[in-house]
Amino acid sequence: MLTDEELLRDRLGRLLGQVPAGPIPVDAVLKRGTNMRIGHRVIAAAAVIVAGAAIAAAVAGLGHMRRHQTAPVTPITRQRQRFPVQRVFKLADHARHGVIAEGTSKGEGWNGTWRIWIDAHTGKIYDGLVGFKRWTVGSLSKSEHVGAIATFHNANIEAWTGTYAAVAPDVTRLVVTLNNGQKVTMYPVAAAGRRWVGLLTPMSVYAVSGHAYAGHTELGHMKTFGGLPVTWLGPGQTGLLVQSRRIGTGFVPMHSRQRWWAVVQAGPWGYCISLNPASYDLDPFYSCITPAQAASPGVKAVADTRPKERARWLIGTARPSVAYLRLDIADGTSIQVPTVAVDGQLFYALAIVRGQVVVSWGAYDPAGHRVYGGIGSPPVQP
Amino acid sequence: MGGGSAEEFTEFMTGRWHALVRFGYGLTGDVGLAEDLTQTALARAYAAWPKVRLAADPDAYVRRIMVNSNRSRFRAPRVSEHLTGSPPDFAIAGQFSADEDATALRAALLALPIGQRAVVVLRYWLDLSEAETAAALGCSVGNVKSQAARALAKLRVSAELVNGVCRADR
Repeated sequence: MLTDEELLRDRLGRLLGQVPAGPIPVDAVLKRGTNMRIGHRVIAAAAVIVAGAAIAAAVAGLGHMRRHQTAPVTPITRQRQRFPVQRVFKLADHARHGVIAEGTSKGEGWNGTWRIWIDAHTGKIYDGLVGFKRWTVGSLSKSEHVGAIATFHNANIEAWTGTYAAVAPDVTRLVVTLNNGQKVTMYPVAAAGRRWVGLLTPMSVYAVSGHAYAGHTELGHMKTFGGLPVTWLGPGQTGLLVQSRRIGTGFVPMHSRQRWWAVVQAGPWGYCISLNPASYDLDPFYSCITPAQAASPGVKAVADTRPKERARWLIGTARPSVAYLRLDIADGTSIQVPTVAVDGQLFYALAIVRGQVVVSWGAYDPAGHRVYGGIGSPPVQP
Repeated sequence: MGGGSAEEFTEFMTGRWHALVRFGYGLTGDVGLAEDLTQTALARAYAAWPKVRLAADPDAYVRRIMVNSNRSRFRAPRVSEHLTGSPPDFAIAGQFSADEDATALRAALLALPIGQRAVVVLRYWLDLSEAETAAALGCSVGNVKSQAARALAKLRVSAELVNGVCRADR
């Protein structure tokens, strides 16, 4: 008869031998270990500064750390940030508790673990700080993957750049390059009947390129705009930027001494719009729309953004007959802007000063005839 | 860290990853948690690689981190681990299709205190000696002996196991 211990060995061997062996996250471990080591050096350098000795050695240590930091060292613990840890699950496993992306931060103001997760019960996709707050960033009904590879959605919140995508069944991994040079490999995980990838990074860090693979075969590479993937191209195919034009510029009184500007870039992906509010503490605005979304029965707004309520920017499209728009303000003034053609589609962009109330709007042809109009400002139709 | 040490560590890691994940599974009963523990421990080992690579037993270093990290998981305030809002989709995360006997053993292991569970996995799966187990756990040999005895006693009468650890019908 087998003894207790021999029997236990036998049964343990069978139990643990059945544990599946997934892909080995070498890159993730090396990066995480490197960042831990850098964090230790930074703390050591801070101690030297506090002691007021060996300033030269401290500066050398800071120089090495500076590549990974965006702010001065003091105080150390409040400036330290960790780049996202990619959780690597065995392919086809379910995402643990629906979590498809996770990042940790010990930055100023926000400490803890941030996650993007899928809740199959509510059908919603959330982004939030664990144990504190969550934001709804999407839904299962609007997260189908369109096309051959993946369709990414924006999940930016607070101090984090987030994105997630449902991926095609044959995608085994995505390798994304960030603007800081870091490469992140994402392995899709299953949740709510689909396969997903997600990425969380500090606000200043975002994806600039990426490749999708089925095993060793490259399926395609992605073009990004403002950190968000907008289209996939086949292996070796180069994206064609058809046209890039400035569609609006100007000054906003009492807001900034610099001109704001808005640009549209047209390509196979549709139109990508960027707005620079020309203020050091306001983030640029990015949005990409398809040709179908740009089409308008008359005039519409595709973006109505009011960063920190400093001013209001309207960006929109118009039919070919429209030469300019005019908005009438309650104080008796008006704002008039021309439309600008980008690859055959008319766009406009204008800024409304804080406090100005728009009474009505009108769209005019080259002869000055009003062709469209309405109460308030042009309707927003994303 | 230089490229040479990265290559050396990569070889160390790839040769041990699967075994460490299985060890982590023995500690946690969950594949996802096991992989997390393994990643964390290996990252820390890499951070200290110039010292770890010269140690007599780098594997023991990594296993000790995994055991301690697993203990810390339960010491941390629960609220920091919980997501707000409705419970997410619990599609048996971290499980796999184990046979019935293995499932019963898993349940019995998870019913053991963390320390006893670690001793069971180290002694009876990795076949470490009492001294090696003590080194991995950072405790005394006497402690390992008593933990092992208590764990076996609990497993003998475990309700999760069909006939306990000792099968009288063999």
